[in-house]
Amino acid sequence: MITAIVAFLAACNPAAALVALAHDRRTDRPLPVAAGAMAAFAALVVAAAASDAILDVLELNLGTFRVGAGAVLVVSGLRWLVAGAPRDAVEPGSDLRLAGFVAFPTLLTPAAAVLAVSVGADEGVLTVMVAAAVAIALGGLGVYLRRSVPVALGTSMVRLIGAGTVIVGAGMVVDGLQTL
Amino acid sequence: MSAPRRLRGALLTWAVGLGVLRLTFWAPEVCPTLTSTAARATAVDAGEWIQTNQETDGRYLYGWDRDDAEVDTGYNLVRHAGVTMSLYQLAEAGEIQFLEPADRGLDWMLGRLEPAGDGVAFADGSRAKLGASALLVVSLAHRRLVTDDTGHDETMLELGHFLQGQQRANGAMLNFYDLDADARVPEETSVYSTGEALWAIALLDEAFPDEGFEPSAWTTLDYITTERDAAEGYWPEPWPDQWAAYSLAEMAEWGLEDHHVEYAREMLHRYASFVRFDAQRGTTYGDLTHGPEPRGSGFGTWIEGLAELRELTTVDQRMNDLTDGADETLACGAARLAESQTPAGADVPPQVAGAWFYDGQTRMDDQQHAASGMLGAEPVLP
Repeated sequence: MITAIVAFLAACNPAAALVALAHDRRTDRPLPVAAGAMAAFAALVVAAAASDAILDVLELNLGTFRVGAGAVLVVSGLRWLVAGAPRDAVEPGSDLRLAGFVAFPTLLTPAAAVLAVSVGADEGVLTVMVAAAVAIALGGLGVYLRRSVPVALGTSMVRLIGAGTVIVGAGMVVDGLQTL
Repeated sequence: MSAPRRLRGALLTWAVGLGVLRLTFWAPEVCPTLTSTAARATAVDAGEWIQTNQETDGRYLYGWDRDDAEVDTGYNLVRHAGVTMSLYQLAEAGEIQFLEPADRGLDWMLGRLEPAGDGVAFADGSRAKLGASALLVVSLAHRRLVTDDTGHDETMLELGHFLQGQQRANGAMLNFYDLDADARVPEETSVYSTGEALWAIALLDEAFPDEGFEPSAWTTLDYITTERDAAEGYWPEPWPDQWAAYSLAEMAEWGLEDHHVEYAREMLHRYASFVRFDAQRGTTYGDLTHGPEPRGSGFGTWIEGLAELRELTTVDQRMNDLTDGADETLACGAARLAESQTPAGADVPPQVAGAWFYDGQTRMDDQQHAASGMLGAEPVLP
């Protein structure tokens, strides 16, 4: 479980969520942020629940899927590590758009999505629910608390977590190669 | 940046990323269906290629260029011994028609024994190569099982003493013996011959349990499983050594230690990753993104290794958890290998029928390893 939580923290990179709307601090709307986080969480749980079906449709062994998923984490991590967080966006005006933006692309990252399928197929939906809940909650909290954290600190954390994402991804690739 | 623009950028990234993944890491794994009957037919066709093209003195057709209709005039004693071994494996599996060509191949080897160290070696020149003698022993051991003929026992023991003489204190096996100088060639080892020699020594102990081969087998198995790859510079570890896999399966009933099992597990995973990667070549674009298929000998060794390690998963409870995955992967790999065999037919030349071609060429060990692999895969096929 601890491993899964660490992996989801690396894949979601809550620090990237922290700086996603870093320069737009006009509003204080906790409900859309919470709704967006819930939507991202739900999407990850659905991905985990459908993991076996996804592997069947893709005609892939879990090990092969995990190698590709690890590569996604490595690339995501390298991007965070080298280029930092994506450029921050202007905060959407309506609550619905803000919730949507928080869900995707802020919290529902490619790395988190493929990780949900991989962990879901291997360890089950419950593990994904717990691990993703921790990572998504921290990410949502980051979006909400962006006013109280210096942007420079958030950006540094994005790179730091990105380094961790690379390590987790590389581990997944190796693990995938060692899966029958 | 506006949120909608960021959203569009993210969607584009996801779409492109998924497309790239689907073409590369996530290309579908295509596993045809193969029955045990069809696998046997594949192995028999390979055996018939060897038999049909064998010369009267027992020598085999070494290689054939399909495009130029030319014989490869090279030869290799280790491969001769390996091909003979595969014919005996076929005979052991019930294809007794291959006993006669195997015996002819055996006679060719027995006519080339030279005194070496404390025993004899199979050699054709000034240097005796370890693997040639090792696979001669393996051939003789299989023949002994098929025929119950003990007429070659003395030769087996003499070959065994040569093999033991090539062993260093740490279990490493020296690859050459200089017949002119009557001395081992120091420092030279081989990626293949250590495992070949281990399997031979293990089989010798099975046949002659009172002749002191068991300690030699354990010493070399320990060396292979704990230090060989690093000491001899093979990376990534473990080196996919199907000869070591044969040895592990042979020695399973002796009581393997945990580090032997750990090595076997890692090697099984290695072979499985090879087969899964190869299965991704089954798409229309597989050759572009995953490269050309390996030659029959290379692919055959994967199947041999998988089959032996799969057997180990059924007899050693520390590997029981891998049986289902090994079965599935072995079946997939065997089916893929069978698909790439050139089928026999009325209009197909004997140098072509039943062979595996790579870049227009086949070599006798392509048929050897593929046949051995097919026989090993039979138990997991429907």
